[in-house]
Amino acid sequence: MKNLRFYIAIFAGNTVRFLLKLLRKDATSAPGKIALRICPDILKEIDRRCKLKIFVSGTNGKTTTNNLIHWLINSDKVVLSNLKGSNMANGLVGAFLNNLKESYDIGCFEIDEGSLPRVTKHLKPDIFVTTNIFRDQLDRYGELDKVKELILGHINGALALINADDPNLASYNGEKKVFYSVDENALSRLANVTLDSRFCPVCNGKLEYTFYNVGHLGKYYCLKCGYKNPESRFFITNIRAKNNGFIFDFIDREHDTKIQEIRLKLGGIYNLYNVCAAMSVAMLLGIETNKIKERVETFTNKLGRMEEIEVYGKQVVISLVKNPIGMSETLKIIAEDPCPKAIVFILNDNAADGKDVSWIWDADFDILSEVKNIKALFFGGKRKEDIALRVKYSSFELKDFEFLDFERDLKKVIALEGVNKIYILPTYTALFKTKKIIENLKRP
Amino acid sequence: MNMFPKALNLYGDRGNIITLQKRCEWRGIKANIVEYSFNSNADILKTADIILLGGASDREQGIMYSHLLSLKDLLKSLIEDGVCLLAICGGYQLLGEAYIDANQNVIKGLGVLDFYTKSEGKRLIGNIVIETTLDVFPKTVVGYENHGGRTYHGYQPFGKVLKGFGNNGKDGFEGLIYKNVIGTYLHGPLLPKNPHIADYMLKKALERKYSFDTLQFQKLDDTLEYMVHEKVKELYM
Repeated sequence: MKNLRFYIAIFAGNTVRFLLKLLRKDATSAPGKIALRICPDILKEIDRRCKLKIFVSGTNGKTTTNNLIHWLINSDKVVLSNLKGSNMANGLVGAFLNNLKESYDIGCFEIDEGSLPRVTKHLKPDIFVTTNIFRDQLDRYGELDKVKELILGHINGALALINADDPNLASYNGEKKVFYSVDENALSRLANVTLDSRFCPVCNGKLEYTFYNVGHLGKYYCLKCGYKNPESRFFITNIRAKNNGFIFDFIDREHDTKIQEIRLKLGGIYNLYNVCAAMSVAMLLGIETNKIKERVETFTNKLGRMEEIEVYGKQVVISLVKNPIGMSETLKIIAEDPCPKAIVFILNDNAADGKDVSWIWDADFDILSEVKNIKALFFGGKRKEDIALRVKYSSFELKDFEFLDFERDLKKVIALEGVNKIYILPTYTALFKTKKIIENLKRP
Repeated sequence: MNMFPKALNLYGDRGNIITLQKRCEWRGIKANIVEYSFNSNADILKTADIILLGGASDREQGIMYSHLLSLKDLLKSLIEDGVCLLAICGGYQLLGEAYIDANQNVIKGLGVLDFYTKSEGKRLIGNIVIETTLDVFPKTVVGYENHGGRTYHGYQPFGKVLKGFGNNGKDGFEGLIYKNVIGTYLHGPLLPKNPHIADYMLKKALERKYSFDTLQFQKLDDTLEYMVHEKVKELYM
């Protein structure tokens, strides 16, 4: 399909990208959109140019897992990947325009669950990594069971890497599959308030748990039919929390391989799942274990969750929150940080955020009452009153807070006296604006 | 007073139980929250003052339906006796005779009230504002609806649709009022941003249990609650 149309599409897309960059605008989606409009077959061409394709899909952790996989394999292979979290067809094409080559060893893509039908028409995955299924933007995707069908229904015979601790995913009945999991650890919990999955996917009996790691990810069993976590080939064990990160061992049961005392710089148990998935992929691709260890230890998160930026000599932490479990986990991480801080919640309800903001009531805001040293609390975004009200009805005593027009006032928040760290928790459409504002403040 | 949140919690239904609990606590009223689940003894329902019946996904709803059918007579007698019941989305549909799904399968409801719900065409989704028929102030109730079923009944509606779809997107009404039952499609956290509806329920429950003179019912500072309420109207009406 080396035709004129393809080259015109590439040229047009890149021109748009160049202009957007010149204007310092976000260029993650528009160039791909233009190119796709001119040449709808461009995804097929991407498929043809990648020798091996890896997909990452699921509710949470797509961007981190995809970036981790890229980090683990990039020095040894020529890789094409959409690292910036732009995960619909436009974003894939945009990544291709950004890194144009005649061929790639590996194409590693995070794919939005809702875009799987369109993307898998043209792009055929060889390895399909599933992270988890949580409630997320129900008005966009429908219910949990529909999301499950979307994901499991589009694996299409690829080797599926399945999170064994998610009862919905673990019931996958395809032929080619490998399971991964995370053992019980000091941060696991015996009870859980925000549960998305109470019933056995096999017989609809009630699921019992011996522990929960993140939301409904954990060790489960059904009293009625005996359904339980399948045995994992890859798992993370011997986990110790250490200065906002972890030390742990990684095991490949099939090859009797153990990588010991891996030091990870990311906090939050959910990141152990992301790391486990990414390490499993690296093992499947035959990357040497000493390299895997070394690379996991040097990985820092650039996007999405808990990105740290220094502005005016202060630490600004931006963490995307878009569903109950993400919000709860982020608050838990903040609760582990004793330093004097400001917290800024930014809630929007545009299409990409999910138009229904009901989800904030499923997040566990009681964790806020365990956070020490909150010097200032702000609420911004289109639905700022909703999120303030959610906090008022938690066990945290809402006394001093301010509403803010975040596009105008973030600068003032960062300049506050007596605050060393500013946590900003935006929803999706506020994330890019927030980042831009912070980037501009960094410029002298 | 006892409240029964159910194992049905799809769109932040927890918000309703939290709101009732807090608004009791702030007034010094002791509220016991009882979680009713599969292995609970049905008799415990008789002690309920307020029952919340939330929505769920299709699969979970099927499981709940079959379980709740055994409680049919009990729920019916409680409703006739004036128990406060907030039934949302799937919980609301469950009160009727039947739910007819897209393939014309009839799923039996509790049949506590005489109405039915039919699955027709695309889902009705979006922010919604209604003018309520209840004797409360303000008259508006705001929320978010997301349902495939269309409900048809001849009871008093919960309100008149000012913006959105309501029961069926055709007749301009939303929800249902029967004695102290409120059935509605305004899902999830309905009560936090409609404190007048939360207080209406609490008053009804207190009157029934203690012949309480609700004139003594303490007012709370609801500035923030009504800011949220007004914001929805401002953005979506």
